[in-house]
Amino acid sequence: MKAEWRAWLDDLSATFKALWRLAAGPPALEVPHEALLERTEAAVAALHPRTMRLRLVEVVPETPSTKTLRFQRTDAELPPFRPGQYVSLALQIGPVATTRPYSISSPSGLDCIDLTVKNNPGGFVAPYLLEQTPGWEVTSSGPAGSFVYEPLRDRGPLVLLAGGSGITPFMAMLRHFAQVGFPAPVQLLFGSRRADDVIFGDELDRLAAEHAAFDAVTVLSEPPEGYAGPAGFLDADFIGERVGDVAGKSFFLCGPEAMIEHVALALDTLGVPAHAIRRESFGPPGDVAAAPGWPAEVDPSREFSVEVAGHGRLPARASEPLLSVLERGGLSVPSACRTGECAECRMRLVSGTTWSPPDAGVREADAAQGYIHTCVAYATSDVELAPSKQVNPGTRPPARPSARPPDEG
Amino acid sequence: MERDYDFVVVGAGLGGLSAGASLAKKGFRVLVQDRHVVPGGYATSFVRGRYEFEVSLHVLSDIGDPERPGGLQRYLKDLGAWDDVEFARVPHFSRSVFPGLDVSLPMDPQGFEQAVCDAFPDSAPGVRRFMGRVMAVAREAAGLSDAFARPAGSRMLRMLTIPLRLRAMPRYAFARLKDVLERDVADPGARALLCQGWSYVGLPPSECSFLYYAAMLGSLLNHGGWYPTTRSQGLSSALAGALQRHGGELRLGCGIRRILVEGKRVTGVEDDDGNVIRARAVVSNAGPVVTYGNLIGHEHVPARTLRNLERFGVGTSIFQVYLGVARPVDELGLGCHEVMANADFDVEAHFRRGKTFDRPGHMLIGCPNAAVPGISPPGTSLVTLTAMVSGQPWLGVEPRDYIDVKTRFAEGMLEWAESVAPGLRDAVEVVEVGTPLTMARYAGHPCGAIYGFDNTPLGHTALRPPPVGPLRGLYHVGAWTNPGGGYWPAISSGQIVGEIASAILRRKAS
Repeated sequence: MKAEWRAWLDDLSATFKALWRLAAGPPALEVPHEALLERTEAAVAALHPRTMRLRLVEVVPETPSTKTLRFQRTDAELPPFRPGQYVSLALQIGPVATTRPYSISSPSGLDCIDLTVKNNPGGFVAPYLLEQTPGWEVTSSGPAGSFVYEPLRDRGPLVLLAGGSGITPFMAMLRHFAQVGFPAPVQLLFGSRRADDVIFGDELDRLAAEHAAFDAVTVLSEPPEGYAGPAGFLDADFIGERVGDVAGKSFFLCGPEAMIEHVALALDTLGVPAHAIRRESFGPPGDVAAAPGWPAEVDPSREFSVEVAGHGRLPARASEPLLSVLERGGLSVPSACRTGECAECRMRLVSGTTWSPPDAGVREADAAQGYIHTCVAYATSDVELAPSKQVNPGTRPPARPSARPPDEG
Repeated sequence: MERDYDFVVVGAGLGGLSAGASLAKKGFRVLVQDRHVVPGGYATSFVRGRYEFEVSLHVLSDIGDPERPGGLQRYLKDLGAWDDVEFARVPHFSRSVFPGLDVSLPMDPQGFEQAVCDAFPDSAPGVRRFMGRVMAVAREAAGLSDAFARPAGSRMLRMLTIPLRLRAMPRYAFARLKDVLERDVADPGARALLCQGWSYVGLPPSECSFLYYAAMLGSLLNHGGWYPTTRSQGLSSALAGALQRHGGELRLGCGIRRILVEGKRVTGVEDDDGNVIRARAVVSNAGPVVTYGNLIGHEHVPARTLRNLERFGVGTSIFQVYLGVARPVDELGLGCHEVMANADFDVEAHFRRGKTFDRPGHMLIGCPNAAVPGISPPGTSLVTLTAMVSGQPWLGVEPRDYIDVKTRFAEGMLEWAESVAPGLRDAVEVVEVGTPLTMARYAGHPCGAIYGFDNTPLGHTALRPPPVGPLRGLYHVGAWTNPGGGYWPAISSGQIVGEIASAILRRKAS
């Protein structure tokens, strides 16, 4: 009881002391709030710029169909990034405002970044990019993406499986390893079509010769007459023979969607656990109707109409991602990754139905309220969309629906 | 003057969404706008591969059973948002692991107290005394929120008679957690166990307000702990849905860069696209530091208000490692949705270590699968490692060193987690690391603070910057203002501003 009285007195004296301190006014802060806020914003901006202004400074031919575009940042220093990450270019091509993510093929820490672009004759974006000359300027996102070498997770040997221009994120990783040392044995299995198609072929050979921990094998699907190297596809037999024991290894897959599906199946056959496989596909599936889960009753060539509140109706082929439909219709819609992960192009489906692959990245709570990621959502009926923010109408008249959706190439 | 809205709310965090929904329900024309593309602020989730990660929530207080609803449940029902989100009950407060001690603390007052007494029988009388004080504070705090929930007439009476019914709150208003704890309990182990929840308020016993800690712990024990089955995003989306259902507008992907001021009153905002939006009042979810510094400009803010802000220290941040693990929760052997790992019994040292890049002394290993089994795909688990760290040291990290520094820090936490849950690391499929700068990147707060200003004896609840700002038509919501940091406090700040602002605007209109 006595102790409780003493406790009461203690609390009372604490109250008086506190009131005294309140009356005396605040003591000087060690660092003013303003300074903390400024330093915080500067630190964040240096690591995660929302946009970057890039100037093309050099164009390096890699193969007859591929060039490396070398950019410098003109509005600030380049932020650090993880090898394997991409930047998304914001492009205005004719009447269409679109974005396109490209893996950075150079390592972090240089004063420029390389984007290696393979031409896609008849495509929409690649031909446009490849005709640019030094001095051209473009705005991009900051580096982003989670297809990266992650030392916290990838603690064993790495197996990199690339198809065609899917080599680009791996090139950033390999160049990074060449600078700081290979953390573990790294094996690259690289599928290309023809001998003159092999991007970075010489540099890969050189890296393999210089670094005992690195081994690169190129496979050609259309080998020339008398070709001595391996020919064919990255199938289970070939991978199994080259990789051997799969336990404890991290597998990275990058290339066209069809190649990724193919290789993932091969890895499954070889007993690679799903959690050891990291994959990055370039863009939406080429043939969406062949994707698992596509509603069989919907003909992919069927045309529906898409209505965005206040912007009229646009024709949409079922096989075309809604984001591309809107862009082609002259609307400027925020977007970046075009695989679903970043959620920039999130919109609410007011009416109608859409289809998306299971890895569209839509949050559970969003799905329950009818939100979709338009970059990987396809109309399966007439649809009406409500954007999260008013979309900016383009300055030019809407483009005629073309045979080529902007997402190809 | 032509006005577009009655209220523009800057920021769609919990406070902003709550204020917006509350005001919209009262019939005002409301716009809530945020630069991020998903609503919720810190109360959100993100998707990597086949995993959807909770960003910030550990456990939710004040939901309660249907027959004994907590303040948050009543508020969600009032907004018509209750049916949009489902909550699972969390059976334990924590499983606390120290060298030589491994205790599960049940999520109810008696069970919690008994578990501490069982672990430290010699300290039992003191533990019971301490818990008595905690629960007394919690009862009075609940009484306050009950009074608030009453119909207007009876609410006024309740509010006016509150001082007559408060005993513990005035007594402990300025006490530190340490003062009360050390008076009652001598054993350092028992003390450490009783303040295991310190990371939920962000300060160690020597700096934390006893009142704030007791209100947090007591309300959790009283009403139980809850977890939304669709993560905190489900809660945020429910609030956003309520806002829209009541006719309010939600605009995302475009920030507010200025709050417009004429003389001594706010008149609207200008957004990042340059649109000027006129409003009778502006509710800022950005915290006073950002609001005055970036959105209004110090020249428009009374010097006294700015000077008064110096009473408060910018609060703590966190370092988080989000893991998608290809192993079911029961195989990980965590046994609880929240394992609190401690290097020793010295909580003060754990907090101090958070100001360095040394391996933390206290770490939360959260696994929501223990509360919501289906929250990740079959055979997998979500595991989040959390350490309380100060944002300040991170401001000085050179950009080129940043990835290495954060990787090393995370590596230390992963090694520790592996010793608590052997086999965890080999099953890791997805890793994302969040530092104080990540928190700052998404929420814009100085030092990546997660609870706003420090909840010290001079900086908690009613002593924080008031919800009514220094300019006419300016209001504050969120963790930086009254009542403070945490989920329910942030949401209730919106509820409070909804009541106050509507009363002021109505009065003027009539």
